[in-house]
Amino acid sequence: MTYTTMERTAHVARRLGLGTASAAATPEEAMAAAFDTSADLAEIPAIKPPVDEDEATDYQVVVPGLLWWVERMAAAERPLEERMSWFWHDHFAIHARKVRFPYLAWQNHLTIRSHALGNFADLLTAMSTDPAMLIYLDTVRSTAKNPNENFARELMELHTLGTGTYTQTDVTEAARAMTGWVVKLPFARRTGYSLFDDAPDWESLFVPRRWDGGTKTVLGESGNFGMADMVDLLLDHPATAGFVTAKLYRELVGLEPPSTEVDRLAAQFQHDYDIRALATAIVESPAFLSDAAIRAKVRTPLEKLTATLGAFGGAVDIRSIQLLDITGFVPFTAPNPAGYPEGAVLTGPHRTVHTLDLALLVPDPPPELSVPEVFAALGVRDVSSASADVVESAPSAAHRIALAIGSPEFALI
Amino acid sequence: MSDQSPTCPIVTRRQFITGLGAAVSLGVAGGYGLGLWRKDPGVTNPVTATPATTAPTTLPIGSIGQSMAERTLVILEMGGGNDGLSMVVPHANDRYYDLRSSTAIGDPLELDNEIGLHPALVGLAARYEAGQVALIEGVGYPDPDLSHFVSMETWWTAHASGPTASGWLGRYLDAAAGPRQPLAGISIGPGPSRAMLGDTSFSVSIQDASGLSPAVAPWIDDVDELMGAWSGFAQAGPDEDPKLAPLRFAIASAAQARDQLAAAIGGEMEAGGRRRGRARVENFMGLAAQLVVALEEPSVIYVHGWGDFDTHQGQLNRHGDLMSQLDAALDGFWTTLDDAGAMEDVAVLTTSEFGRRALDNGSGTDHGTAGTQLLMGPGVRGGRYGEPPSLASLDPAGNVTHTVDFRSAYATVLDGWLGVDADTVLGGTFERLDVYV
Repeated sequence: MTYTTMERTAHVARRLGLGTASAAATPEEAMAAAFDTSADLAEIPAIKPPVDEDEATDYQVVVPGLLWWVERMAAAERPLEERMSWFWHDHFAIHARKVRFPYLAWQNHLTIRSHALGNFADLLTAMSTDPAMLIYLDTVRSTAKNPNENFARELMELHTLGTGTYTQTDVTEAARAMTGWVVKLPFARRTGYSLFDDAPDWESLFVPRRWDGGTKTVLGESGNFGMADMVDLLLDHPATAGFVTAKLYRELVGLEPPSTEVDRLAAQFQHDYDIRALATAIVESPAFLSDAAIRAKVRTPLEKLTATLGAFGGAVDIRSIQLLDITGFVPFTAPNPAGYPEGAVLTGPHRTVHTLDLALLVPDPPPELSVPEVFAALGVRDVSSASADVVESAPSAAHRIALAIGSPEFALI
Repeated sequence: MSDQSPTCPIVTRRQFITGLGAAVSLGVAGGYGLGLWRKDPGVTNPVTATPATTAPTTLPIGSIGQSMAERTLVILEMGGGNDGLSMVVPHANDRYYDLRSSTAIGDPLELDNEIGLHPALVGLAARYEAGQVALIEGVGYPDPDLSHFVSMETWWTAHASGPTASGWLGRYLDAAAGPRQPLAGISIGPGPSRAMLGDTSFSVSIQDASGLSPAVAPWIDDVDELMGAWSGFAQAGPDEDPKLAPLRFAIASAAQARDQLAAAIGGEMEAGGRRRGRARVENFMGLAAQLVVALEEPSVIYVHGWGDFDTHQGQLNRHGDLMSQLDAALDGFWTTLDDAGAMEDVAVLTTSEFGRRALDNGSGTDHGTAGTQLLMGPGVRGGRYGEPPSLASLDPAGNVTHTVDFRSAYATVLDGWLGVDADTVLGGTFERLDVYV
């Protein structure tokens, strides 16, 4: 199967962004546009820190931020920044219900966003003491007396090394090193949250008396390790760069990387942990524009929603969040620490049928578009004759749009 | 898959994956691949790596017992780690009150001189007295990992270690139903359960009583017309992009499942809606009962997405509320079936990824090891099974040691209730509980 230049251009926009179809004429132009972060955009909304527990546990607190985020994902500007912000949100998955305070989930997102195209070492360091992460993976409950292995395990398994590179003993020892961290709240709570008045509210805080200060042996190194030492050990470990490189390659190229390619890319990444440079190197590899890469991934419900919003200019309101909820893709609600589902599971009947719900986001009355125009708006350029026939036979412009959203072509990126 | 007949839209998951392999080139999973069901980048090659680590999945389709063909197994997953010691309370054990200084259940519904049920489980206690409830105590898995994630993987796949692609019920469905019965396995919850993922079978998932109907825009006047046109996407054209084939298959199977559900339940599917919070498990179990009554096909219904059992804090209130929800959900479920005269062919098995720490933390309990399962239904020989784990000899972390392998209940329902060769499905032999006689 070979694809047209227009489809290749659309492919670049689909992979490197989350929203609007590219206006570029060539794949190279689309790449340049995706990496461009110069556009001046609406400011991040200021979410006021909650003052009491009732307010702090109310999801409504962060809805303005969530709507802003969805609008940003759907926009045409700075697409790779959004792709990478989502990629890291998925990589360092959290769930607002377990975090309990949605404000902290929002702060977690802002932290991730600030490093999305920056430096992985900085990002990992920030996540290691991020308040939402410390709560989500039980570190605030982890003390010298009763260390909790949750974060230690996921930090190695999901965030840095990948399975098969560490032992259960490494997990146990790392858990000891990672004790002592709590989150300062502006109201009284039980174990795991600090009541120290002099610390800033809603930030993490190291409490030496909760830390296991003894000698630990992790990944073959021994010392009086704490959290920062764990991060250093993981950044120095050769598996980390390869693990992250391969994952980002799968995200952007959509194919399993050859091991030689991982080695080549990871060698540089381990040297500087420069995320933008890694993304650039991956996108510049021939595989990215190969026929095999095009339409190699299933489009997620989130990507369908943001592309639909971008295509037709629908307003972003609470309906967008409700529609994401139906298909299980609301930000801050990852089903488990490994993040959101992907691949074949996204093509199950429930999510497949409820793709058609997205027509709710098209402004009323819907625009009168021809079949090629509808698909082009959705970023699909090479349309099969069978799918075109289905959309062509629709009784109205409205049905054409709904059907194109439900087409097989739109379900792939 | 341009040769796919429009009158036979269901292809198997194996074909699905094979077609994909052709499209993306063999050994390159792209965004697909069963191994990526759970995203585990450690599995470098999901499509080709999985067969070596999974149990055989090719039982003869005729292996299901004839008399058992009408039977349905409903799994109710209690996500987050249900505290077995608060659900089935060892009220005569002083050690229990020592360990649970802040979370002990003081007034259980006594079943015998050792144990009692949580006081909210009034309906369950009545069914226990009627001999319809098997309590399986001390259930866990070897070398327990206290992570939710690893523990759930273990329960879903029924493999104690290593990455696998298929779920235990997926392997059952492969054996008993195959690809021709898309409604043989139904997940109720936020998507298909990993436990239901098979190689050749296909599991439908729905999450509310609106079934597989889209919420349509106001400018779509006729939803049936839209869905009729949409199902036309199942038909491939000549010489088209082969990467579209899995999506055409997905649309075909969704459309077919929608039609079957609509024919079976009809207008009732419009009722209900999407209630949250307390009513969630009641809705899910209510829908399960509705499907058992309305459909011939379901052999397994997997209810999941009820995941609030991680009671590190505030356990007495939170877990008590969950027990109320459980009792109401089970009561509603059995009442619906009883009213329809359909109780006899149904069994319910509860699961949870782990029990909780024996020693509480002053307000709740941390991740633990062994827990308690319920196996219910008229076909069950009620009573106590397994062995309560010792509260006197805890491991260094303060956890009990399991006495029953979690695959025992699986093996028991697989060959005792559903009539397939449990050893083949589970890839090993596990002790059967004497529940079915």
